[in-house]
Amino acid sequence: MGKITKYLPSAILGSSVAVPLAYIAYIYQKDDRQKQHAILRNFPLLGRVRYMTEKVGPELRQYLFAADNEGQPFSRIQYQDVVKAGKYNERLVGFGSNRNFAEEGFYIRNSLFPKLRTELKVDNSEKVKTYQYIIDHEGLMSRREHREEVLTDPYYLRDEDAVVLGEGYCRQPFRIKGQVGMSAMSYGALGQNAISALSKGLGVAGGTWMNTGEGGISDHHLAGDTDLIMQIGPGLFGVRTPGGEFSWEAFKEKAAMEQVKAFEIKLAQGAKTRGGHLEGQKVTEEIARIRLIEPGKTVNSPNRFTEYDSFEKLFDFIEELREAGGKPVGMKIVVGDVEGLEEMVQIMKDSGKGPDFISIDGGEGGTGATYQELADSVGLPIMTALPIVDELLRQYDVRDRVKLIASGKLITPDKIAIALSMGADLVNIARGFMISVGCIMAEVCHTNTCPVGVATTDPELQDGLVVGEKMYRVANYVMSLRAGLFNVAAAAGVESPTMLERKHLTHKDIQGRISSVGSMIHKIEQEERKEKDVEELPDKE
Amino acid sequence: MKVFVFGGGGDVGEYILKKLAAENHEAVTVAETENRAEELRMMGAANVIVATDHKFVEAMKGCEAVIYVAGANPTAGENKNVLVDKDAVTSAMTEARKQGIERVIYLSPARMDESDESQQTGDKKIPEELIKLDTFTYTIVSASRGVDKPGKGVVSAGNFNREKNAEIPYEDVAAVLVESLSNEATYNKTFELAPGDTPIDEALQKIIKTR
Repeated sequence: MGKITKYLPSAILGSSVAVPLAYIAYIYQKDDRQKQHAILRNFPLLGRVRYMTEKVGPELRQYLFAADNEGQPFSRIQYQDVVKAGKYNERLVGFGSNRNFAEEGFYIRNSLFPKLRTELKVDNSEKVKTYQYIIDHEGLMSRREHREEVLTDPYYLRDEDAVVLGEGYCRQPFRIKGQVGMSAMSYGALGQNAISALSKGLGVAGGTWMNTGEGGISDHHLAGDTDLIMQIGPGLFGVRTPGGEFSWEAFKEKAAMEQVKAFEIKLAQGAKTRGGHLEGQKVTEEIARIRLIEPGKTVNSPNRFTEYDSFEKLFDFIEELREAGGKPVGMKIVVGDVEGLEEMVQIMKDSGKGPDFISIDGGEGGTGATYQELADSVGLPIMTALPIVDELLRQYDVRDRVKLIASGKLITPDKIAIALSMGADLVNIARGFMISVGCIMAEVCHTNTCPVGVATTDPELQDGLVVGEKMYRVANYVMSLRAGLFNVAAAAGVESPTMLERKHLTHKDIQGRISSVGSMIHKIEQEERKEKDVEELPDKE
Repeated sequence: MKVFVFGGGGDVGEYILKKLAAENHEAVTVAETENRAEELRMMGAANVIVATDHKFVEAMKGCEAVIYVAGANPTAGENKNVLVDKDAVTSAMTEARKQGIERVIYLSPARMDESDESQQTGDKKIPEELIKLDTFTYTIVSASRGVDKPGKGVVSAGNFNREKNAEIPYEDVAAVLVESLSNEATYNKTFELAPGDTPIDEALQKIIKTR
């Protein structure tokens, strides 16, 4: 005993100096022998420090150094807005906006005579039972809070304002009493807990929908009794024969499901104008059963439906699907080729055929995994793409046949309201919902190592995500978005967000000048004419 | 029974409309605007008149009871310096009497746990004193702080020593008011309503004993 107390302090002191020294000597020597990194050969210690700080840089910036408005794809403050809406059902901010008003951007034109709360055409006749957090005490090192069961106003649209997909064109049109739904997220890209929490949360909120993603309908999508839009991608997952052909039997089986309300053919996705690749080891028995593929075998899906290379063929396919299933059929596109789009709309007009809805994904849209070159520079952002499609459809008199669903970073009510004013009937959200089930934007969706168990199928990591808790955050988030939309509508002087139009929107440039957003195509044409005029100027020489 | 609900558009009012519809009563109420009236009809009100149409008298015809949820409504009344529009209560009661309505249930705007001083502020207590003096078969309820939480179906009713910080779901307050309509134990009684663990009908039966 005496010996231990006598030598312990010096032993600790000795080892605390000796061990790091030994480690430094070890890596010094080791680094000298490697050929991979020049910096480590010349400056092994500093080089190590450099790699380490580079690795933890994003975390340090996110938590310590980035200002509230910094950070992409979503700033710290946007992220917090989503989390607070889900957790506390709270959208209030103190002191004022954090938006940079010097930058250019869209603004809602507020009416000088806004609508009163009692003048809104909202349906809050059935309240929704949900849970929300209440903070008891906020300290530096701890926050005491508890969860309470509450009744919340769901902010549904009135029956007469409900958005209907496929009205008058198919046997079972899809009526939706809200304008916000979940964008395509497959089981496999997201884990079962995340998908179940989303499905149940959307089910609680009602008046919304869930897009299954191209990975087929899983039991987890069905867990919460919410309405589903089944997506069909070029891989034909869930609706294919073993040989990889389209299976009408499988399709009819899906169409007969009560929860499936519509189908969406995915031609492209904002961040991913490419085909899919599913590694054989990820094709579990369950995934194989859902997608109708062979377990353990790698699947490469093409970046286009191999059979359909023209609008005529595609529209005929849509007609057949609608006839066989009796439910609305839409398509998801990314806008880049405006002339191609005009051709499509022309064919819609001439043939009388076409989709019941078009989901327009902005180039800024998210994805689990893609290539940088496609994510950054292929496809127009939503606030350009959306008005172009809306205007083309109007120009050719087919706008009333098709509903537009917009997506691309529309995670707060103001952004959604701007999209609705720009011509969208509905809005799809993916990452906002991921955040509401616990995503912390670690940006490792493609690695299956998501630290919060959202974008992973790893059972251990998924264990962290509790479905019964997160589902209510999803419900609160949707209801809070809808409440926010009514707020904006009231400020703009209309009774319902379905009444928002271009005239409720204005664009302010960097010098403070405002311009109307009445016609995007007209502006493009004007610019083209100007350019042409310049080209045609006679040479002076 | 045809029941006229004053304050049907309020927090408690909405639940009163639903509860009345569920128990096959016919609710008549008033809304500020046509859009709001439509929503109250969706909640189960049989007839909703818009305040600005001035059709109170007509709407009250044939009603057998009045449920009055008093409260400070920012869009009603011109004299905002009083928290409860005393004149509105008085004229409503005068009209009710004229129509031969005998049963009046009144939810006091004064919370049971308010201090005496607070209870006096803005003449909150005066309307209920007037109702008591009238010829109606009255029930006057003073409740704990209402919250938007799911109703439990259990309360405690009677007289308390102003239990502080207790909260009661709006749904339960509404259920008590509707239940009181034809529950003789509540006739000509003033009682306090707080959260508890007695089923509502039982809790109301007990009032007769406590008074």
